[in-house]
Amino acid sequence: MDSVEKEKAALISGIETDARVESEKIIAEAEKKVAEKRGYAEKKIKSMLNEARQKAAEQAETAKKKIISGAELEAKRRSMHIRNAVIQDILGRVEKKLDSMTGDANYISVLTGWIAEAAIGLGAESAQVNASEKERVLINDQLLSEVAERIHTQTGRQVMLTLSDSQPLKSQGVVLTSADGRTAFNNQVKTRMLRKQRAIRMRIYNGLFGDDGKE
Amino acid sequence: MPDKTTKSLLSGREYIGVDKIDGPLVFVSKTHPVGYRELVECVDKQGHVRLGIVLESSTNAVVVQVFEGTSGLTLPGTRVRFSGEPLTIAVSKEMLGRVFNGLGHPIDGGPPQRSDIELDVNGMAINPTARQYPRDFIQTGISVIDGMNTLIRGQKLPIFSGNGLPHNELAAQIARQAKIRGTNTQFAVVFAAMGVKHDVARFFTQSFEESGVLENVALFLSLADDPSIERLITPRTALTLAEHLAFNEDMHVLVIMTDMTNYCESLREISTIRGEIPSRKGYPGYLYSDLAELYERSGMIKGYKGSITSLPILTMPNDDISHPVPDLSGYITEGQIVFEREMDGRGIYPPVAGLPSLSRLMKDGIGEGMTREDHPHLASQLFAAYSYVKDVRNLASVIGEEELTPLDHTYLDFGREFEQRYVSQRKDEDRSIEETLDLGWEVLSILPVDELHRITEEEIEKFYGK
Repeated sequence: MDSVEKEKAALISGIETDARVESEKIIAEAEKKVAEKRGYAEKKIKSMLNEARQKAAEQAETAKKKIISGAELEAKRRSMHIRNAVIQDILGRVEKKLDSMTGDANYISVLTGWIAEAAIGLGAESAQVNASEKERVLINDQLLSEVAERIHTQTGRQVMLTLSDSQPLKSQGVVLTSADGRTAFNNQVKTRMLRKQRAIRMRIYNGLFGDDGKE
Repeated sequence: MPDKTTKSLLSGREYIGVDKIDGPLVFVSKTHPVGYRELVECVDKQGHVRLGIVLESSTNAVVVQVFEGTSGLTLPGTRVRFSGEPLTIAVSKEMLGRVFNGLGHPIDGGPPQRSDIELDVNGMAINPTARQYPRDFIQTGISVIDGMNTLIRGQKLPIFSGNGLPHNELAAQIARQAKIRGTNTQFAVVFAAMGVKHDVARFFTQSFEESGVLENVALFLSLADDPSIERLITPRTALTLAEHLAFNEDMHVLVIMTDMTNYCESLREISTIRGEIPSRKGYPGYLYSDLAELYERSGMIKGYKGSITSLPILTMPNDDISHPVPDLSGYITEGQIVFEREMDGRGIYPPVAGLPSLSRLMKDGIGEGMTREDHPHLASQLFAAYSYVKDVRNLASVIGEEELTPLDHTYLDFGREFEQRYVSQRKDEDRSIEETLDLGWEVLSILPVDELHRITEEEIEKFYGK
């Protein structure tokens, strides 16, 4: 009976020992896994944090870039507008100044120059000359024949010019129309300025703001 | 022969009345001798000036193409002036950050641009012997481009897309993210829009504004409601500025031209009105040379620091890649990025079709010292494997997936992963080339080593399954 009891006790003790060993092994494995998982999670958290930080830095950089770019663009726009307003003002003054010159003694030579230029550009054998009221007073047959003579000297072409009987022009300068009405040459101040607009604006710009003036 | 003074005075001569107006064309007879592509000013009764160019010139008549349309012009009331010179634009660095119409006139409310330099918008194709071979890798941050269709500085790489596909999003993403590795080089972007809708133009403007690059962008907009004829000059004005920035200001310029199909439509319209003999699908026979005239203005020139990289976008009518516009573009450009509608339908962005897409200059800009030593073989292997995936998918559609071999199933898994992880990415995701290549290896590791025939053992040892 005793021996049976002893065997039983030994068996139980063996089972208990095995179970303890097994449980210790399981616990150790679980702890190892927990440590691994923790390490992995910590690594993951760290990488996510880094990524988030990096993303945040990138976003901040983009936002900064956007603000700076927007501000620089706005400054450029304003500077352009102001400079353009100054140039427009000067162009307006130039037109006024030219208009006031009609009364000057040497204005006739300017006018004959414009008529001759228009007649050469027109290329017609005969043309009618029109101008503003103030300028029409200055244009007569003698002046026109002088212009025709000048053209002949310059180009070898004979041109017949007559004063148009249509309504005077509203603004300064001359317009020549060929006798057949097919071609015309507008040599009014506004048109002349428009034709050379880019060069004039550039000259004013360089004069005022220097060659390297940034917009 | 008129002397110089007389010649310049001829630009002031006005022809009163025209003989015929047909669509955007104006016919004027009995003029002085005028040149081909000479700039013309057509003045209507109200004094409004519209620009045009001479398309044909003979002793009898001159044909003028009016950019701003002929609506409102009358036969007796139209005055025509020939400027004696081609259409030019004043170009300067200050044009960056501004918006212009197709003719190069500012439409942002600002004054006209100021510059001493005026260039003929017709420009000239780069002399082939003066070209410098492009080699510098441009990182776009988009895996399918960087990894498999690498963009090289000075390259012309069009996007062949279709209506409704996200080509604008991709172009904007490239413009935002493009960089040369290891340098702080920033791209100036010249954007030319032809016949696009206002929302598309606004999308690009907003996208540039939000990413803070607008000050480096010049926009030339000829929108859908602008006269269609203006589209013909828009890419030319844009490229003229690009040439100035690249070759006079030493900048690296990215030119985005959208939509080239609209440009070609305008060309077809004009050709039909002129009564020219139509070629394929009614397009003029000179469509190829006309496109080449534009595309060949991009590149790098020996002795110059700057470059023009061009990214034309074209929508293929009916998604037909054999349509004359993509077909002829493909002959001129150095590869193409092709969009696939089916991929877009599956929510893949960018829906770049792996197999028909190609970058012909890629081989010279990738590998050791440029990207990474494994790049050429990896790209080749990805192409090969994806190509097999396509075959397997075709086979599966006939015999059913269950009849496929285990290896075929592995390839299908690879195909799915390749499209979902490698090709697909967020619209704001900027992947470095290393990330792209590592991702390539990750998806490639789905396949067994025995299947990787295009990769060296050393590369497998170093990158496979890591």
